[in-house]
Amino acid sequence: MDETIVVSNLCKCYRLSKKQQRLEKTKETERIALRGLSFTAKRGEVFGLLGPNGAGKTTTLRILSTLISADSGSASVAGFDVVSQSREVRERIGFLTSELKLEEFFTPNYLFDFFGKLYKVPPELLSRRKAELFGKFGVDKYAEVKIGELSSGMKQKFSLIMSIAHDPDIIIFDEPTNGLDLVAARDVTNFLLDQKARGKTILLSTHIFELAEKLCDRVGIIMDGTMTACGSLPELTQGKSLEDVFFSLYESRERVSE
Amino acid sequence: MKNNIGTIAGKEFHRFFGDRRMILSLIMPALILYLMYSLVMPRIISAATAQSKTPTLYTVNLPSELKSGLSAMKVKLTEGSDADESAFRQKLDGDKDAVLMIFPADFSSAVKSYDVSSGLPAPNVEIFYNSSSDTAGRLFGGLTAALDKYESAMSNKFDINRDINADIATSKDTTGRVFSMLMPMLLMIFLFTGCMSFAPDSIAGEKERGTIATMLVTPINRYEIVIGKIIAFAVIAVISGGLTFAAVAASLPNLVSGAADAASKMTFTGYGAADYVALLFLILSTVLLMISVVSLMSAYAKTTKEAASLVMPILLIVMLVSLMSMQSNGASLSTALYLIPFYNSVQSMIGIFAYSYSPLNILISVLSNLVYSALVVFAVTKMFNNERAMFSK
Repeated sequence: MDETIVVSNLCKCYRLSKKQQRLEKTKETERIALRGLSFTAKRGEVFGLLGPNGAGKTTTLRILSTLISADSGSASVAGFDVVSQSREVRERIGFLTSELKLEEFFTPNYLFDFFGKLYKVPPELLSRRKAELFGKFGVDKYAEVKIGELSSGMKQKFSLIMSIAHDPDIIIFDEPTNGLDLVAARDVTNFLLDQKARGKTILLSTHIFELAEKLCDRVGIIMDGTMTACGSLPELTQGKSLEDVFFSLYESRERVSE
Repeated sequence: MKNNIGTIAGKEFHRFFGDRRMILSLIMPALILYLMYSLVMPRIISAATAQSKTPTLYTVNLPSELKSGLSAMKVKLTEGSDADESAFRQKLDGDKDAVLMIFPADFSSAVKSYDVSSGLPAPNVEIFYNSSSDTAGRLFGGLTAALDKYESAMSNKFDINRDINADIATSKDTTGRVFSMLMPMLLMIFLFTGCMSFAPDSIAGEKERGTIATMLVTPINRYEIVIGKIIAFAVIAVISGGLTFAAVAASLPNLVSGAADAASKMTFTGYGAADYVALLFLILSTVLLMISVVSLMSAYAKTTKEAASLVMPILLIVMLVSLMSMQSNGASLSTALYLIPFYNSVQSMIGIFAYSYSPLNILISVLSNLVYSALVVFAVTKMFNNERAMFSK
């Protein structure tokens, strides 16, 4: 198996704005998000990033999607460096995070065509893909409703659909089932299983252990910006549940830091 | 690259022209200005004139040679002799619009026999009025002017411009003078406010709402997003500024008619094709610079509100520079001044509207505006590449 996503020794530090310092009641001017994070994801596998809030999962995914850059270390996606070949990286990934919103004025129909054009999808293929995705997620009847008039679950579904308008080989999803009801969450899980079956490489971050157990071939557990454990599910769990493994790592880390 | 820029610009147009409220915001200022200046204001002025009361002019010992002149004035003339003076004074106390004019009993003969070299006091005319009344104030002014004219006529030795129209100003001169004073200021302000109406929401607003990041993960270059947006904003600002400008230009003669004889001579037909072409290029390059500056502020700001407050000082500078056109007596001749952003546009517009521009200066203004715009667009692109500017909360 080729290594499609390679993350090597990534470090990232954020400067805290005065407003953030005030909100978090801290005098720190910087916050370390990543401390030498490394991992790889192979072609056709589903790699899950697990970790508590503030562990560095979203930062890692944002670096891989070229939205932000690391302070040091390197990362490549499909053999392209995320800094020097960012455009090539963006052509090959479908990225979804709760930070990415769709403009409320437009309809899903318009936005799908808009993003399809930016991804250079030929018009005929784009129409077919739109029909396929809107049908698969059961959202056809909302195609001409403005985003602003949709429920948050429906918006999330359309965000996901837009992110894969170009049928990317690599899917990077940050908490894809966040804010979805049970039915919508199942649709997304089934969609990811379908993509896995089609040989796509999927990198996802999640809080939901069942989702990770159901989807992931390998899992990396991030805490405080470092990879605490990484391996296939059987290697990591050794007969225990993923949740037990996670909390045992989390508690031992808490004890050390105390 | 062209496709991506076109796609981004197309989205902005769809956003703007797909929203009835946005279209209304584009048309309404021009429509309101036109209606106000062309229909409402002249009616208000004429209504105010029609409603003004005809004042009473009380005269004591009014000489017959002055009677016809005073009768021609819009007054209710009441004549009397010395015996009526105290009654007239009482009436004056009860009517603040009225004026009382008292001539000496032998005014005409006293004036005729008066010798300036005698050193004696000249015959005196007393005019009483209440200065808190505009009507009485205007009548007082009219009466003193009429008496001055009467006095001049008595010692007439020579005339100036008798029975000829000595003003050689052509329609072109009058149009040039009035339009070069007003139009640059109006154009600059309307163009800038047109730029302010949409750009902050489309950049800072998209950052605030998190929709810009959705575009940043697509495989287009950041500069394509910037240029696409700026082209769309510029077109919208030109339409907005152009509509408002046309409304003002069309209604200006109606607005000033009655206030100045010059108004009847004002017409846009005096401008030739070359003038319009020069103005078009100047407006386009100016709008490009304005929209680039507004975009830079918007890219720096975290919210639409912050963007609006950052843009406000620039608007004040533009207004201040534009106000100079009101005081101008033709365009500046120094070529170096045409390198100063915004000032160059105002000076060039003054030149165009006054029919006295140098094509070289217009060219320098347009080119320098384009160079400054390119530099600012470069800075905006840098801002789009800056994660702190794009994602900081």
